[in-house]
Amino acid sequence: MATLATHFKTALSNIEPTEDAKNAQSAHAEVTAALEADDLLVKLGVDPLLIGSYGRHVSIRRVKDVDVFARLSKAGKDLRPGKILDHVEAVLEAAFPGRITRQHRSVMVDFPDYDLSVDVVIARPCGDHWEIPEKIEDDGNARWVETNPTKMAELTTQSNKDYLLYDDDPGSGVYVPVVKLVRQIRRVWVDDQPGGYFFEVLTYHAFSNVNPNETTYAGYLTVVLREIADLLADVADEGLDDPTLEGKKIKTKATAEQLVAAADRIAEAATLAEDALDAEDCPAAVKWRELLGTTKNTTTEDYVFPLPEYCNADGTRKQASAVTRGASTVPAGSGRYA
Amino acid sequence: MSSSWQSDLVAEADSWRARLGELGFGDDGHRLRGDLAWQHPVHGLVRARIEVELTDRFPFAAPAVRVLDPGTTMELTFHVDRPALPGLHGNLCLWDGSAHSVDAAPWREPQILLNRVRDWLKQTAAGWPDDDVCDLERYLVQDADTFVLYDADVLTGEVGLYKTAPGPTPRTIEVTGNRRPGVIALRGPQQLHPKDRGLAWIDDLGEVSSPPREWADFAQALGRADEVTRLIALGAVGYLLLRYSRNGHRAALAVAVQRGGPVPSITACESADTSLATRSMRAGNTAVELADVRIAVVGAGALGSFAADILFRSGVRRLTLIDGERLRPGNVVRHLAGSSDVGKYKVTAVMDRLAATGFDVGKVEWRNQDVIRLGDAVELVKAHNVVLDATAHAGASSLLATAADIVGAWTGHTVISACVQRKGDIIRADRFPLRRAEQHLPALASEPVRAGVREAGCGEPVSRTPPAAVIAAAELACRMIIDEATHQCALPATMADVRRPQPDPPFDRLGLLTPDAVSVPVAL
Amino acid sequence: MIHSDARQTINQAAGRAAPLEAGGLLLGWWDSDRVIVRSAVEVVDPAASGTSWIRRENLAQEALDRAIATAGHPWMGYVGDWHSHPAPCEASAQDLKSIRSASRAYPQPLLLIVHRSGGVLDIRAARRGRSQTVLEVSA
Repeated sequence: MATLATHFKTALSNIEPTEDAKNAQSAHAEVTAALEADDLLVKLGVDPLLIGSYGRHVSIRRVKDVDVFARLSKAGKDLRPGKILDHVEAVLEAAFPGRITRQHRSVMVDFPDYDLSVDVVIARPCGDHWEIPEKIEDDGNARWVETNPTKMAELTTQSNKDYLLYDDDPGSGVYVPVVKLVRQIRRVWVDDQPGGYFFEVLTYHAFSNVNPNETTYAGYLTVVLREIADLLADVADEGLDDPTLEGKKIKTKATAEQLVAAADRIAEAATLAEDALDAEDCPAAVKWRELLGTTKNTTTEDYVFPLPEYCNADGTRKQASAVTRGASTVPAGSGRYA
Repeated sequence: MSSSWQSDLVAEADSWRARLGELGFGDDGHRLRGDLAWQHPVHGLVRARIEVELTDRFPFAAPAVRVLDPGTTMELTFHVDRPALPGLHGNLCLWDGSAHSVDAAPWREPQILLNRVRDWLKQTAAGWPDDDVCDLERYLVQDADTFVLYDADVLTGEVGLYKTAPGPTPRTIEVTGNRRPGVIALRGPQQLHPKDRGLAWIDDLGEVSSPPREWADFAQALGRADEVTRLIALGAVGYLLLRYSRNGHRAALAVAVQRGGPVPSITACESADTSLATRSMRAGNTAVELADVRIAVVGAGALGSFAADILFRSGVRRLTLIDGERLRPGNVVRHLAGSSDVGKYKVTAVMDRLAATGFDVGKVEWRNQDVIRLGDAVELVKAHNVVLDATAHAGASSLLATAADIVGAWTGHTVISACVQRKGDIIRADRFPLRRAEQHLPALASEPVRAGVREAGCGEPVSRTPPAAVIAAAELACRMIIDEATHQCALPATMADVRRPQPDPPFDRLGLLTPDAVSVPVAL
Repeated sequence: MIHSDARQTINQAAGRAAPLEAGGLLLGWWDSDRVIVRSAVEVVDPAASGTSWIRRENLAQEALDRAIATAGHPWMGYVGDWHSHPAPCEASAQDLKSIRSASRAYPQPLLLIVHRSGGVLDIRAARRGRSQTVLEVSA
């Protein structure tokens, strides 16, 4: 049984987007300032909000894009999304010349110095939730679709309160760390699709289904990973429930083949985690290392899970004490040298 | 690349955590938390919740253990550190850190640590019945700046308001024995008189069953709490000096108090007793006996100055210092005195250093005249129990040895002649007169001091003995003096320490030589 | 690492014995994967010839016990064999076979030092019955 708790803690800090967080903060602030300086947008009640994995504090190193939800709280039913998006594009182009890309239903601002981009999505109120344009027609009209980007953030916060490593310490939430580990494992084990958000939702369901109660991150990760593998096996047929919108399914770009492949890979990863949990510390460390792979999109790909100082990379243990005294007996029998 | 000792430490910590994990403790990689069943003397088996943290001092220091919940209604009293931040839990004091070498450290076995915590909880439940550790400071916020001095003899039994004075060094204050009589009150809009600021309130907490942690605890324990509170609010009282005892063991707690806020803020100061008894505690078992012994030190140079210092610190008070020379800058490196004493007679320079210890030098005499006549030497020997010949001068030494023989054995008068030979390779001390059947070690011819190593002028040649040999010789001489002065008479007539073997037997072997066992070094 | 004491002992014994072979034990300890040879002792083979030296258990064990007792070093013990070749030839197939077979009894590697005529040392290693490459030799 090797949980290697201190090394897991280091692994978590190795995928923490510390540097990105500062940059994302600055980028978000710059974009917000540009939007809030525009009279028309102010009139529409613009109120930008950080969403996405970064907004939910479950992003991992490297953060390449930051989503900003530009809520237009005073926008009416007659707002034409194409037109307003043109306007947002013009406002941002003036503030960030040459760094703007118009996308399907959003405007992207590039921050080359930070090596990240900010994606601005506009939204209008609809009852107690929000709508974003789904597809914008040539005439600037669009179908609006219901969305609830803040709901996932609420669920994340709540889950991190519900699942605690120490029942008596509200600061010991395991949900967020496990989501980060699962996102990292996806980057290592799954080929592009399904994406990080899909796995975040899988993790959410896994926690709800299993209601795990373990004593270490390693324990939680292992149990949750197995449940995710089981869930994935059915997702190709049944789809994945969207926990933020009753009765809806999560949309994914992944093909059925990709979903099946992902299910196989995660089943494999779950087995590796189970083996690691049962192994002695050095073989365990090597397995955790394989499971969590290396950091992605970084200048150098570094192992996420550190090899304990007393282990060799092949899982053997270094001599407990470096010095072994010479033998006190000579070899039995005689040895002939010619 | 980490070295093997580092990986050994990490491996031990990992395995330690894993074993605690097997006992059901959760581990976030930083702190381990888990339940601990322990036997409460009244409530029976209860489950405490504890937190364990392996610090970077492990395994050289015990893991930090905190009680999150003792599992029953129970106040944590003694042997727990003040928490690093309010609202957190303090670390338990489980072991005396100085008592365990890392090889035998009990905390390296998780089960032993847990048993120790169980025992700690049991002791706490029972109120630490046999405990006499007086460390009330540790339960308060520490004032790292102020050091409070007081004389326990003067203040014993007193309760009330006392004046304070600046101590001997910056940031020390002394609680004096002078009471501030009368009533202190603000006169109209006027400020308090400056001499009525920073007074000390002296009180007695008696036997303490739970350490005071905040002002309310003091307010409850003090007999005249209202008056003390009023005096603090006025700015008159700046310190509390509180006597207390634990299982009969007496101690005092010094607290700096500051007005402002709804209750006074309090910080614990390091404090110390200046009474003679406390200051003499470390002088050795023979100090009392030595106080009445008369000892003369002839020659207040290198050896004599350090010997005088050792004797005085050991309790000798009736000391006579004899030397006709003045201290030269070149003497200082091998002398008790410092460069600020240059130009003084060596005897007064030594006197001043003795006085700096704070003990009474009223019975120390000095003469800045050498002993040159036999008659004077005989008088000197008769007037003292022991005379130390530290002259390093063959003529003076033989004068004193002759005087000792004239006075005779078993008269209670002795001369110890100490010297350093062969540039510090040999140190020796000889006692005169010999007792029956005794003999000295053979004399060792001193190598002639090479010409050229003299100070300018027509002085004596300078010996090249290093300071360490001089101090070692002073120590050897003092052992023999104290042996004589306290009538133990356990030491032989000569003791010689061969610090580097010489060609001439019996000085050809390293170690201590005595006449009884000339070739065998004697362990003493 | 081979200490100069060991080199000296081997050189001297080889010189004395020539034209016969001489041989003996290497004494030292293991530090991680390194073999530290602190000293060497000669073990006389009464039947030594110009092309053969045999380590005989009784004589070798006696020599080892004596060496450990006099060294007074807590780590000192047997870490391998040495022998001399009066001719300038390196370790033979028989030499390698013998050290491999001796190494089966120990978890750590054993060293074999062959002293060639002219004072050149040929250094080989074996661990658990297999030859091992000696990566680095330092004085």
